[in-house]
Amino acid sequence: MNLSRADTSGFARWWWTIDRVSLTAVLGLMAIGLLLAFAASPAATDHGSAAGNFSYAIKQLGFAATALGIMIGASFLNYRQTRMVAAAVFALAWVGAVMALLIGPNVNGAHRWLEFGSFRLEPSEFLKPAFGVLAAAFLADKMKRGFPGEAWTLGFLAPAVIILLMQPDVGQTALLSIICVAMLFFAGLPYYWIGALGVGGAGLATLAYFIHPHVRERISQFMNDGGYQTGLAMKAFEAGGVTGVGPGAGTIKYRLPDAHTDFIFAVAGEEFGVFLCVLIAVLFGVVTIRLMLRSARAREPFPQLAGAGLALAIGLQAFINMGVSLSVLPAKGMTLPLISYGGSSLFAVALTLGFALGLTRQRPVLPEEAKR
Amino acid sequence: MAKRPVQPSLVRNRIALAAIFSAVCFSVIAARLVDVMVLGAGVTGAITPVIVHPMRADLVDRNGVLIARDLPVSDVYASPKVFWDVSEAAHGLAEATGAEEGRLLAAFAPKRGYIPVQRGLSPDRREAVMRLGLPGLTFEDGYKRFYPSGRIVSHAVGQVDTDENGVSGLELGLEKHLKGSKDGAPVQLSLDMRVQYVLEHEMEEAQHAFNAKATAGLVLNVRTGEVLALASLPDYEPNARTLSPGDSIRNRMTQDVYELGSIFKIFAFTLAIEEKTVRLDELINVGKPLKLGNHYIHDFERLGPLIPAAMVFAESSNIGTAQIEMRSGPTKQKPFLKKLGLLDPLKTELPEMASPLYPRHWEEVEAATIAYGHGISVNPLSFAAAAASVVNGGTRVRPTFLKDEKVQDGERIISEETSRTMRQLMRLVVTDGTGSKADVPGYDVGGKTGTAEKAENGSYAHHLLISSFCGVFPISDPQYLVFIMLDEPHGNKSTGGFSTGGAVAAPSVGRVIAKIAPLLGVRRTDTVAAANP
Repeated sequence: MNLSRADTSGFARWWWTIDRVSLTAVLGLMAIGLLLAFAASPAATDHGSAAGNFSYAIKQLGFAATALGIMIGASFLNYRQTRMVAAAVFALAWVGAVMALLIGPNVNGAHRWLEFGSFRLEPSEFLKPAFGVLAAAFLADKMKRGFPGEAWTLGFLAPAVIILLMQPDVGQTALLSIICVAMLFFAGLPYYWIGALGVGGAGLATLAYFIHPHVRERISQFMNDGGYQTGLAMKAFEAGGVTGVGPGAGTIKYRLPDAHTDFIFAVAGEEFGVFLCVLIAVLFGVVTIRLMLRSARAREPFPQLAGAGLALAIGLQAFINMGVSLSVLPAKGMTLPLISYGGSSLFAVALTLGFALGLTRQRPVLPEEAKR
Repeated sequence: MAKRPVQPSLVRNRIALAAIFSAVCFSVIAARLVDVMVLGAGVTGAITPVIVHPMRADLVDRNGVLIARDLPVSDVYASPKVFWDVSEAAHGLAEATGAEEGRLLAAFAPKRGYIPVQRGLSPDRREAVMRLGLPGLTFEDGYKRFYPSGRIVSHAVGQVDTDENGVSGLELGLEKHLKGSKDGAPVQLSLDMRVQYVLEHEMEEAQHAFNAKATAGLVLNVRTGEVLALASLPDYEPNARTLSPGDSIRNRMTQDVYELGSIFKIFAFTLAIEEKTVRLDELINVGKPLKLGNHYIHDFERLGPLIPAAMVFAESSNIGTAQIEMRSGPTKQKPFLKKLGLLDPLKTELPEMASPLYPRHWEEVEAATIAYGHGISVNPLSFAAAAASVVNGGTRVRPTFLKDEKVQDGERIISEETSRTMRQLMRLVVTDGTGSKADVPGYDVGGKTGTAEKAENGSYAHHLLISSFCGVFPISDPQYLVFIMLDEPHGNKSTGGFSTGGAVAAPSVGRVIAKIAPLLGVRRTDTVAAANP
């Protein structure tokens, strides 16, 4: 990139202040996502009468271009703008989720989507990045001038959790709650409170285990050598071995339900082998840890908390998805950020990373920012 | 700077703690990947078999006779890595499952991956594989579609793929019914297997006797639109995975279009009678070929010179029919054929449906040739539906393959009066015209013969014919239409060497009617007369 450090145009300043290591890792993950979309697409579109084709992959190419725009755009925002955009996104996402509940189509028993022609948008995906930024803003204000930040944070968590539970989407609810607890922890919540919350969470999980036969089934499957999907996923990893069976040559993907979304990691394993899988895990690790450390180094609590919270959102989702594929965690449907097929998830992840990259940009202490 | 709160260092420490925790988590993932993919510490036991696809509902005929059913089968897969003797495993598995030993050996040799051994094993073969006692086998239990009647009705019913998704015929067209059937209730078709056996038997006899390239046929209820039987020869064995030589999955009744020739005169006369452009006793000059532009219209045999219009139909004169059609002309003819559904692709539960072909430039000459069925190509099922609409009292019939005994209330196309006159004319074809061999005493068959020359390299080939007969019974109050068509029949001694529709198709239609009328409970007209002298 031929940009002078002395160049003060908007783009040059962005380029020299953004975390280029994280950005490169994110772009790498997006490229791998497209590669895998081409590998998984024939299986996802194969319906007996019509042979599988690349229509999923072509669509995903369009999604990726849009996502890139969202991410770069969001990373240009300053702290104030980030907060305002997050507030607007939170409101829109919540209203969208309510509308999806009322008028959205029923997909496998859940009402999460709004239909725009052939495109399905899942508004609740955008709650996570927006909530992360807003919670950071409340908690940072508390530190600065005694604002009741915890109360406001929980006050915003409640409507989001209620709508997610009504859809129902237990996975997203858990994810959002964990992010909230983590941010309270970052903001200095005493350890005995964290301990109490941990005990409470364990209690809720136990309750869910006894009340929901579905949850019990998943756990017992996990304990007893895996369910059908995870069993096949393990076969896919095993079949892939060191070198993989080759792009497009995988056979298990044709029988693996959700090969292009929740189990894309297994397709990567079968076709491309251990190196690509380890690369994906390493890239996620780099993005998560880099963004956390850059946030930690910020001079103010708001970018510290927001950056770390958003990084955690990405890292946690990636870890759960990969952990489920590898039978390290019990089965829970969750997409692999930047890699699974689907527009909504990709756009929301792009917004999350865009906010995080923007918040972790190097900033000289400018008078107007120091005041805020 | 002094006023800056001290918390950021606390926040910094706690985030750093989270970063360390994240590093541990991702390291666990990486370690697990290496463990599973390189060191092979993955699952060793067989995975819990789960039925992937819900069962498809049974297909039954209108009387509940079974046409298609899912039977339990298993797919077996192998992880050759754990075989101690690859060639022994390949040999045993080949013996037990019928899979090719060479293929298995080649696939097992690298001792890695996950190899499909055989699909669709019956329960006893699965048992035989179990008895081998080999490690590293996975069974996936599912279902396989079985068709107890084999080749009979294969084209209408169609097939499913190895994953039980419909790929052709009603299996595809009724996919939603078959997959969404509540508590596995069977899907009941309009087909009547007894009628189907009779039709296919007669078609096979004709196909063999006249050495035809292909034969197509159907039996249609002209009031309810229900298809009782539909067949196309050559057919295929739906229970086999591959086609035998000479078999064909092509459904000639729906997938191909033909210039059907003189049976189209039904529509020319219907239009003329509806429009009152002809009187049945009016004398028409058919003495010499009709010149149209630089094109001559001929008759098969020399008639006339002057014959009544009714005999133009009964004796199937092209010259006479063309003259009568030209009184209405293309501006009347085209919308009329459209109303009969002959210019649009037919919509039924069968997905394989060819669209009709007709001239874009449709003037006098085209109108004259279309009057006797040349210059327009339709699939035979569309023709049969249109003919049924003419004889049933004049309302549009839309064929269906689902049992529905309600009389269709299609839109009116012609008056009842015209329909009655057409039935008289079709009876005349059998009593005094080209279709005499289709008559069945007591069932008052009416009909029309068709003999078309096949277009070849831009002109018509005199020896390559499409010969057909469309019969309706009982003609006074029609209930069923029987249609049989032969592609390139060769006349034999019994027909005096003739290969025309009246010679090769009409006798078969007559025999089908004679056999199915009692089965379908159609009353003989002569017994009624005998009972009331």
